[in-house]
Amino acid sequence: MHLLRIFFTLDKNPWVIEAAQNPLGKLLLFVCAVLIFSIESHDLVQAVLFLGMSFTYAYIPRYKDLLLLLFTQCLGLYRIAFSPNDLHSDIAKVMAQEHFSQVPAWQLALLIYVLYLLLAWGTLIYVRQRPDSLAARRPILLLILGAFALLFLSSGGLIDGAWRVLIWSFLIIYCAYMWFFAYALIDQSSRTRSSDSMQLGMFHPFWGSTTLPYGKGAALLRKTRATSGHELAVTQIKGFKLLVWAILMLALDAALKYGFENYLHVHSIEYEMDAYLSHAPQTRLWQWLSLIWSQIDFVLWFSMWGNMVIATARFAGFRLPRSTWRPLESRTLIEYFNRIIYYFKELMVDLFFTPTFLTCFKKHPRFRMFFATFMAAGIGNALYHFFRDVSLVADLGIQELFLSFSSYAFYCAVLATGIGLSQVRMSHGYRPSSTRLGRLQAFLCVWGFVTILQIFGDETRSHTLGERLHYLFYLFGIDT
Amino acid sequence: MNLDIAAQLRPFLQNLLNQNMDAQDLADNDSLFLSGRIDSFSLMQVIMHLEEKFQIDFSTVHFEASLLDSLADIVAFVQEHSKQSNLVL
Repeated sequence: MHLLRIFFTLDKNPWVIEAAQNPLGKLLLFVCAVLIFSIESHDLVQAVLFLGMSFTYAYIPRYKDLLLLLFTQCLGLYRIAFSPNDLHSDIAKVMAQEHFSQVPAWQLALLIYVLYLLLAWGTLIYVRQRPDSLAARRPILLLILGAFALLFLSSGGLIDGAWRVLIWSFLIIYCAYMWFFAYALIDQSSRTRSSDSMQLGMFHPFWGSTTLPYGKGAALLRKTRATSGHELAVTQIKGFKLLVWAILMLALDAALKYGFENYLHVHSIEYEMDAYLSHAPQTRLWQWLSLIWSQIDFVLWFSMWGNMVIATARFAGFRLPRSTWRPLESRTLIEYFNRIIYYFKELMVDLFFTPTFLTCFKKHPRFRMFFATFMAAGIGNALYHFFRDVSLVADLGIQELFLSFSSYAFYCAVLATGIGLSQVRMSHGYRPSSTRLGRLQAFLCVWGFVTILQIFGDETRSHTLGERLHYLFYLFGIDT
Repeated sequence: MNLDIAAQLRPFLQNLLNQNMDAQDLADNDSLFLSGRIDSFSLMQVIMHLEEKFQIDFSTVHFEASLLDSLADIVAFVQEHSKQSNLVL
């Protein structure tokens, strides 16, 4: 317990903070961070590379924006050109369909990526110079329409051959960087906007991300950058604590996976749903255990992954909020999402909730809150996941792409309605009871709702909405 | 900082903090949103309060959460945007 207390208060310990500011302390922190990071990556070189960039960025005070651009884009170009990845395989699929073999997929991906960056840069300049243009006033709408246009052009049977390959490649790159670009666009109208090099340096920043911008955009970064040696030391120590916490989550997930899957033979929801549909289900208790295990696995994985990314950003000196923070304490649905996937919730709030809330139904407060919440948790959520998995169209075709999304769309609609109603209640003064019984009730309601809803939120697209509804009824003892 | 506006806003913000189980006093420059003391939902309550009390039309201003990150920020925001609408405080 004493050791735990020391660990939890490391960032408040004057001796440790002082030590983290001298060369030997910095080196020790770096080495410890690399060793712990490599537990997850299984690759010491990768750990040195990632954390080396973070620490270098933190300790070179001049040319911060240029350094961010350099590190991010070097890593981006390396990732696209030299490491096997989904972008290559997605582009290669359509190249094969169109018998296009003049260049390898990685070269095409690289070319399109550079073109995309130049176009993005040009667009940033354009919206800044023309603040009254549609692109400046409605950047998110145009981004989304652009993605749909590319999707229909590349997969709607309108064109074929080399042009289809080119537009398809552009769609794949466009969707991979879409939400980073969105943050850069909305920052252009800010009076304190960051330089273009910082904006482009945030396109999948060097501390890691998925299609979700961890660390949001330049607007948050310029506010959270450590400004003194003391602040940097505290931020890095917090990063170290978060890294250790993330690895503990990884270990817990691995131990539970062993216990549930190898010892109890509780499998994923998809597995159990397959068994149910082939008329060979396990008992209902096991189906429920499967649902609960899938939810635990989801939370632990997100907690581990998101917090590792944020820890790496903290080593670079950014005082960013954690990605997952005490999720079990959630008392409402919106609090659950705030605590589980903070940066996804922020993306939805920044791009969908706030613009809707500020402009729509201002004379109808209840509906205003509900509608803005629905736009974020329903429409924004659906759009994010639709474009994240847009490459499935190469295998499924455009019609099946939309049809197979119906289950996730249903998930978004139910979730958005739930969160919307919860928000409306909150805006009228309702607060969950803070008694022990009240907390337990809130816990069961929130976690029960999201766990059951997971039946539809699973993103594999291997079962139809109807099949999932049948499975839900079956879980509650209703055989249809 | 305009002390009249600050005096009007402080109890409202303190109440929001209390609702979030935050009993600490609110200093003028304390970060509310970026520090996580108040979430984005509470930010909307701040916006509704400013719309109602100071008749600020948020659809006409470029909005970002950092503009309302502290009591001092909110007071400055109110002063700037209520001037635009010729509101006498």
